[in-house]
Amino acid sequence: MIGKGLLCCGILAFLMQHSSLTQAQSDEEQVGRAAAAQVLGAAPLINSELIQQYLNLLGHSLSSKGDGVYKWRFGAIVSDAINAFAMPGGFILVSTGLLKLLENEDELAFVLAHEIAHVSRKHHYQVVLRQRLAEQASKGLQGVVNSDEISKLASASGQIYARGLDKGAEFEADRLGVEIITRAGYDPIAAFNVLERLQRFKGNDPRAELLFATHPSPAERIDMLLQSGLDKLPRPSSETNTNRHARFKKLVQNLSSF
Amino acid sequence: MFAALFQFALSSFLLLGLSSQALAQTMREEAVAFDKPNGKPTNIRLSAGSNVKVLRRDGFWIEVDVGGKTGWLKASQVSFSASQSGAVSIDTGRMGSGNIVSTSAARGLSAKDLLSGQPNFHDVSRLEATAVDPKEIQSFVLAGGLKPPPSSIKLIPLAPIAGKIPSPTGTVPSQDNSPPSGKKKADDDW
Repeated sequence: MIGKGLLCCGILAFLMQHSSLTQAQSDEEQVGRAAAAQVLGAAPLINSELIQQYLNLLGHSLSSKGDGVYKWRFGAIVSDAINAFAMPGGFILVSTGLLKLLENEDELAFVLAHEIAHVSRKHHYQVVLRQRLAEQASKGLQGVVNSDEISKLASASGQIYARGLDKGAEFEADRLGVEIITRAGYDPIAAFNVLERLQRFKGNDPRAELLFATHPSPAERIDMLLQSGLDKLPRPSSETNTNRHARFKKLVQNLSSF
Repeated sequence: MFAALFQFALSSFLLLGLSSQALAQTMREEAVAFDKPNGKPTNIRLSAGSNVKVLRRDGFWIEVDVGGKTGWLKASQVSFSASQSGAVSIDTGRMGSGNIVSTSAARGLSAKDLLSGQPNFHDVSRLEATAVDPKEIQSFVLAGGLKPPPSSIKLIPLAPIAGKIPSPTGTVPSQDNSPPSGKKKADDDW
C-alpha cells in the first residue's frame, strides 16, 4: 500500500515535472517563433530548396554534437548584411551575405555551431525572460494567442537582435561552437579563418555594421579562443573530401543568384 | 557580379596572406621564435608586451618580422586584440546601454530594420516546413567523410577580462556548466 502510494507520488511528480518541462520548451519555442518572424520581416527566407536542405542537413548533423533537444530549423535569409541569428527554441538564420563570405563547409559548420550554442545555452531566451517578456509569452501559451500580443513579442524580440548579447555569451558560443564542430570531425581552424576574415571589415562597413555593433571584435574573439586552447585541439587530415567540397561548391553556385 | 568580384578579391587576399598588411601585434608572453612551423628555435627572443609585425599565418602558426629578422610563433603567443595597427583593431562600434543606432545596411538587417519590420510568419511556416530525414543526415555525414576524433573535446571556459587571461593548458575537462562571469553586466543593460 505504502509502496503503491510512493509509486503514485513518484509518477505524479514525474508527470508534473515533465509537464512543466514541456511547457517551458513550448514557451521557448513560442518566443523563438515570434523572434524568427521579426528577423524574417527584415530579410526574407531564401527561395531555394537546395540551400535550405543543405543548411538543415549540416545543422542537424552538428546539433547532435551539442547539448539541448530542440526542433532545429535552419534557414538562409536574403541580405547582403553579414550576420547570423539564433532564436530560442531552435530557429537559426544565416544571411546570404555571410554565406558568400565562407570558403568551405568547415567554416559554415562553425557559423551554425556558434548559433546552436546560443540556443542550447538559452542566451537570448534568458534575456527575454529577464525583461519580463515572459509574461507576454505565457499568455500565448495559455491559448490566448492574441495576434496583437504576438506582434508585441516579435517587436520586442527585434530589440534583442538589434542590441546583441553581452560579450560573455558570444565568447561562450564561440567556444562551444568550436567544440561542436571538432566533435563532428570538422577542422577547428575554421573558427580562426572565419573570424580573421570578419576582422577585415571596417566597423562602418554597412554589411558588417550590425555584426560589429552586437559582437565583440573578431580579434578579441580569436584571442579568447586561442587562450581557451583552440590550437591544442585535434585537426582532421588536410586531405580534401571531394563530396564535401562538391556540395559546398553547389551551395556557392546557388547563392550567386541571390 | 559584385559578389563574384568581392569573392575574388577576398580569395586573392587570402592567397597573399597577411604579407601586404605587415600588422603590428603585441606579444602576450615571452617567447622564442622558430625557423618554421614546428621547426627549430632561432635566436629571436621576444619579451611579453613587445611588438611584432605579423607577416602571414599558417594554421595556428604566424610568421613575424622582428627588426628585419623573421621567425615563426604560435598564434596563442600573440595578442590579436591588443594590436598596434588600425587594420586589426577594428572599431566595433559597440553600442552603449539603451542606445539603438539606426544604420543603413545593404538590403535589410540593420538595427532599424529589425526594430521596425513587420513580423513575417509566412516565412516562419516555410522554415518549419523544411524536414530532414535522420537517414539523410547519416548519409550526409558519411558522404562528407567526417570522422569524430577519438578523444573528448573540451576548451577552457574563460571569463572575458581584458589583460588577465590564464595560460592555456590544453584540452582539459572543466566545470563547463557555469555561466560566463561577464554575462550579468550587459544583460542588465537591456
